[in-house]
Amino acid sequence: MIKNRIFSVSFPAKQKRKLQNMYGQTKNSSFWLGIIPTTWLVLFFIAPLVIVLQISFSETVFSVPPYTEIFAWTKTHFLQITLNLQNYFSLIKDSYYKNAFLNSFAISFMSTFICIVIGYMIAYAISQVSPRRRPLLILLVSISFWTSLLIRVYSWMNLLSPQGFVNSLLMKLGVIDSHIHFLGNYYAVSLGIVFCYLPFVIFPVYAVLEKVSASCIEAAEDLGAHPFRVFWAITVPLSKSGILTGGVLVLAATIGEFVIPELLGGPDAITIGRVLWMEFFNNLDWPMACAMSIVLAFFTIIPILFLKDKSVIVN
Amino acid sequence: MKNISLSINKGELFSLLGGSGCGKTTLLRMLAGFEKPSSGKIYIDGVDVTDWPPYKRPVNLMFQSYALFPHMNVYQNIAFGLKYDNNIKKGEIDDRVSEVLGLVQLSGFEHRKPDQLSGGQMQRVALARSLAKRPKLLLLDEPLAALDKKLREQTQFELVNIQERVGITFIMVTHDQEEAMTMSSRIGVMEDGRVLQVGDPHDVYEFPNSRYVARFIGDINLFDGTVIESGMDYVEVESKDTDCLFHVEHTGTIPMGAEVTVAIRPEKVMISTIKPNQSKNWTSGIVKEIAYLGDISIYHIALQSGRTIKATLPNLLRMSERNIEWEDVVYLFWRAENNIILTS
Repeated sequence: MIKNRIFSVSFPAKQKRKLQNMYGQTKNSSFWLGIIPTTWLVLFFIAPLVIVLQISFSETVFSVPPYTEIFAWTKTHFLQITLNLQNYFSLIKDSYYKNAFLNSFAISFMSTFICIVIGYMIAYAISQVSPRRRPLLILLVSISFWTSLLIRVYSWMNLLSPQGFVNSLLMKLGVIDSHIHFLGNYYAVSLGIVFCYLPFVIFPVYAVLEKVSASCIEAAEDLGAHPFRVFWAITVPLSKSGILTGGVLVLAATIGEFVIPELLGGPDAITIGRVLWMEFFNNLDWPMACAMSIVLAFFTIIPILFLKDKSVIVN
Repeated sequence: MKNISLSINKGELFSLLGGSGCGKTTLLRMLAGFEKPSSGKIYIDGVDVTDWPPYKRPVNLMFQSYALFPHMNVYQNIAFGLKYDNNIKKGEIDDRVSEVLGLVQLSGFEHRKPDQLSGGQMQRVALARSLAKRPKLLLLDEPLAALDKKLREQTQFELVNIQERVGITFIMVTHDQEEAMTMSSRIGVMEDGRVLQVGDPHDVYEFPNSRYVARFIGDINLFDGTVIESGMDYVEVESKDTDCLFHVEHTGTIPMGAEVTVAIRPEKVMISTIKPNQSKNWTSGIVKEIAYLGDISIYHIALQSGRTIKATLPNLLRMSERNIEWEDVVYLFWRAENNIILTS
């Protein structure tokens, strides 16, 4: 979902520029081209966000819907706006929410870093094989990407559960006497996130690496740099935009991740996504949940704005 | 690559000339170390470097695409090779960079990024970068191909001047025979992975050793024929294409009856409206085309056999005053020593 959001933001701008370059003056057509994604964004992104923002300033009540209206007309025809900031204060004061946020950030940053390291290695390896074999390898990465996230996470649960494949294998080989509890901790969550979001790094990095000119690499070698040094001095800096794009995509997508911590994390792995779910569906505290959503959206948008400034999304 | 044996002299500017796909770039990449010969050896200064990786060879290559590092400025690009050279002290790098930048007349451009440079400037930065390490051998892959014509001619002389000043051996790959002729001390003409002829520009032009070289360098008229008389220092050749006899000054032995080709350069052919006073090496025909190039004109003259001969004449007179016009019957003649006889 996050991915779609980015592309729908960046696509019209890019197209506009292209058209203007091609035809000089295309003010009219670019306006009409822009109106479709703009309408889409306003209807399905901005408007819901405004509603969420509005609910976040209301109070919880037992009714349908379970929150108070913040706008009211007084008898003297004044518009009265009641803003309840309690939810936001709780977010700052209550260590439960604070920890949930911190946990989410820690897991997200950690996983992003690991994703970049492993994803870069895979993308580099793909870019090094003969061009004839590359489509097959890209397809293999895509297959895991196309498989439902839920199925992929369930497979990990199967593999790592106490009665799962890994434990039984280790028991059979006599390496361990009793089950190891792989699941139910932050490492399991990180593992799941890294596995599921790896393609977000592999694709943009590969796209950039493929374009790094072979003669630049050869020139560096020709000038006396050992291939290992060429990699760090030429290849990595030239693929920086791919690393940034991939990193931001993973970061933005995983901060609010719910499914993976819920399934792999066990009861103690409290992340912001899970707390949100609980507030909405267990506590029916919509205003609190909305306040959390607003803060979460804020933290998600920051890295994307950063990416837009760097204009690396063009890749 | 087939059976190539070349020795390049220290300090010379050697050109490998050939059409696309003749193997000249492959040969250059072998010298740089990017390709391995399946057999044979490469020696530089008497040292066998055949198995050395590119980063160890005392050789630098200037790429056709220049291959400047886009994320580094001009200074960093040039200093790149110096940084990894243990023989160069840290403090020396600045001096070396400004020295080569002065050499290519780009002082003050240190902080520009490659995308802020024009094509000509990029070419000179690439040259400076490959000169900075003072290699024993500098390889240039089509160094001027990406420049426009005017700039290319100007840069040809600059490049030769720089080569003379630094004294480094240059090996240049080019498909442009004019470029090879003006710049090189020697030329190696390549075709299909073989070196056909090696010689100085004058040799290769005036005494091509094969039909391919004759045709590839400059313009030439070729006549297939049979040797009908073979003397000590001459042969006489009869050709179906013309009614005249070719009398060719030639030292060597070509047997009677051998199938040969006689070649004659267009600028060596003289045109006259009066029948020449010589019994051999002349023919006559009708002017079919006159290509006016300003300084010279190229005349296409159709012979009775249907063959066309090209002859170039300097335009000594203004066009309106010239005395040869389309459809005129003219006589063509040339001197015996200007005939070239080709057997392969």
